Amino acid sequence: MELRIHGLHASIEGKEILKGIDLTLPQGEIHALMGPNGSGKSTLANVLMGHPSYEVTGGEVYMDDIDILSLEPYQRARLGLFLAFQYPVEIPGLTAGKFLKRAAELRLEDGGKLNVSSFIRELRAHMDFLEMDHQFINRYLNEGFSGGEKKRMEMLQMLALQPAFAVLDETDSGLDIDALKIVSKGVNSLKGPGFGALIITHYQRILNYIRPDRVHVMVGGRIVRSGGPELVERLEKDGYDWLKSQAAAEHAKV
Amino acid sequence: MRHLDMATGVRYSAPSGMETLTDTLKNLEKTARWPGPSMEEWRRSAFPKEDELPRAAGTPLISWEIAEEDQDAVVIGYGIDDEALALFRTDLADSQTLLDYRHRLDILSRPGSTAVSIRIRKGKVLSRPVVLRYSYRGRDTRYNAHTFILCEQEADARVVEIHDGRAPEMFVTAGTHASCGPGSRLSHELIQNLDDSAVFAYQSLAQTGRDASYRSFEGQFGSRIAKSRMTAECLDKGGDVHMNGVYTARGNQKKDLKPVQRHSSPRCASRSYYKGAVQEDGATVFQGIIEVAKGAFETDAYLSNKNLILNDGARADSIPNLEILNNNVKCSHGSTTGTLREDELFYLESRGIGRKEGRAMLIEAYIEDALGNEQGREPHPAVYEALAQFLKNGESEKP
Amino acid sequence: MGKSQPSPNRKKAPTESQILNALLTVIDPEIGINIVDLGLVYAVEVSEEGVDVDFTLTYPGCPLGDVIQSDIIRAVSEVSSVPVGARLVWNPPWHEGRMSEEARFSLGYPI
Repeated sequence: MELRIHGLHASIEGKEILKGIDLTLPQGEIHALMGPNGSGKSTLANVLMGHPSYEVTGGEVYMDDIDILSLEPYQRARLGLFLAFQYPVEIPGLTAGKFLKRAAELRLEDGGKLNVSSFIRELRAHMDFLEMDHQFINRYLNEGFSGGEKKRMEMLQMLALQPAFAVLDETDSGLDIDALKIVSKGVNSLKGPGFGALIITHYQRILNYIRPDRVHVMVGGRIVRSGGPELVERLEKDGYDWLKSQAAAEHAKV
Repeated sequence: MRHLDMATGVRYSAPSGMETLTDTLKNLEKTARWPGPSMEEWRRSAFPKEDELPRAAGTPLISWEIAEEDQDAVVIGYGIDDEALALFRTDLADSQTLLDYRHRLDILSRPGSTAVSIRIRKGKVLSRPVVLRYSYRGRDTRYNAHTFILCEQEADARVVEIHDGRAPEMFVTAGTHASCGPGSRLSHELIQNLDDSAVFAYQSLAQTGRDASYRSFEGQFGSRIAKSRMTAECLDKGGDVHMNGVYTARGNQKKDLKPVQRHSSPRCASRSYYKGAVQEDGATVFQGIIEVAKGAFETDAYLSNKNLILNDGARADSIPNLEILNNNVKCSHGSTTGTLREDELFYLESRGIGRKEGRAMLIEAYIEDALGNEQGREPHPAVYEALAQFLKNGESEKP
Repeated sequence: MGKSQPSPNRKKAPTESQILNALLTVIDPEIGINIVDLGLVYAVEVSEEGVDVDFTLTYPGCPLGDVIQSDIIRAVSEVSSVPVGARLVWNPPWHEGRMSEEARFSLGYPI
């Protein structure tokens, strides 16, 4: 199965942000999406998930031959798409446990019933793996969590839901090295033929711990370059400027 | 715990003074008026006129549950004892309308079938809540019901008062009087979940003595119009009052609530925390007030009201008030009105939770902290039953 | 060691595990969780004369006493050829701490 993005255009409040994105993410691979601030990386993540603030003005996104742009966000999630948010919302009054249990139930086939004791056991195992205090199950979702704790909670959800495709929107931002390693552990533990991940990041730091199979660079709402992991080193050395001027030149030609 | 059989409850004989009070009330009745828009407290909701309401009088079905091990600590029965009668007199000045005088007269004319008196003995700590249920079943019928709670010195009790019933066009007037003796702790929960066509008018007065604590929870869910005034009055120093409330309005329902934090004595503290959720064409009014008497120095009182509006057309008015007659006090109030946050809904959806269900989860989460589960006290199941109906009547699309 | 064949007419009491499995199928309709995980089963006495189950309810006035009682009798009778009785008791009073972790989690209690 692949996640195939074709010619995706999207705007917010009339301003076009995505100007024709083409990207194919097969299951079994980890891709990195890098780019300077304002290039539209987060917009892509949100548009894939179906955030209502954005308007899709062109293109298709296929997941297993289904155009998910015609689906509601909850339907995309049930098909196996997961988004780890850059700024996860806080929901006082709703415990993480209740939330996770419901999300897990919805992943089951119709009529399937969640085995609660296995679920609790697995949840605890995931929390140990992510070095999270078990008390987080009882806390209100993300309320009062530090940045690192919020990102770990996103990873916990990802592990509990076992998505087919995970998009991580700057999951590394604001994290110290230890938290970064744990987030990477989470992603790496899912690596396999049934899992594809798109790691969206500004810095290459996280890519020291999660080795991407392919790297794409986004500038000004377009993917201007794709390559292997060696592209990361080039960016680390030379920054984004060489790509920005190249992109501007190409755009002027058109 | 045995279900106390109706026959085993105490039956109070008429206390002396009932006749005098009845005469007083009949006099007051002569010049009183039916609640209407000319009265401050009643002008924000259109309470039906007297001739629009049923007249045929009915009797509520009353039942209660007390844990077996608490039976020595509680005296409960039908009717009014002397002390309860005294309570019935204390706030006559507050009862300004014909509705209230008629309610009291009806209770006094047949207390054995409309009033319940509960006394918790001195120093006793109840192990389980006393649950009192008033069920109303007659269509087009008028009901009166009244509860007296006498919490003696150092007693500690939780009393849950449920008013429910399904029948069209009922008109229910209910009331509670409670006294909290020195050092006592009373937790009082009022849960109303009447048929959607019912009209419900409720008044309560709880008075706290020296170092007494009163916690109330008011859950107003049912009825097409529910009008409530719950007053907590501190009569002596060291009083500690917490009033929580949750109210919902859907369809064409109207809710009008006025919790009153009345400081008649110095050095008492009170807090109120009321949360409402409104959808469809529902409308709610919150007109809570803090009243501080001239001599009530070192009062510490705070009032908070929050409202969740779930669609255009739903309405929540918040009109809190302060009447402060002493300068040496700490009093403030806050109110907020909001809608469901799109980013929260999106977050839930991104995990596969459908919009309708996500909406219900967020409403429950919103109400959660006003349900009064402090000290680990779980709200009575009746609250969740009533809430489930509100959550069900939302957007109609699946899932 | 000789084995005695039970005579066809002799009634046999069920094992503890059979009774437990039967009780796991009895669901509190208001909550949707079985009575064992809710901690509502207080005592089970088994003998050749019969099986007696003492159970309680989650709150006084819960209207489901009769329903749960007959469900217990029905479920256990399916594995028992000796008579089955179920008795509603109120002591000690039930509280949330008696629920299994699964039940607590399902109902939104801290675990």
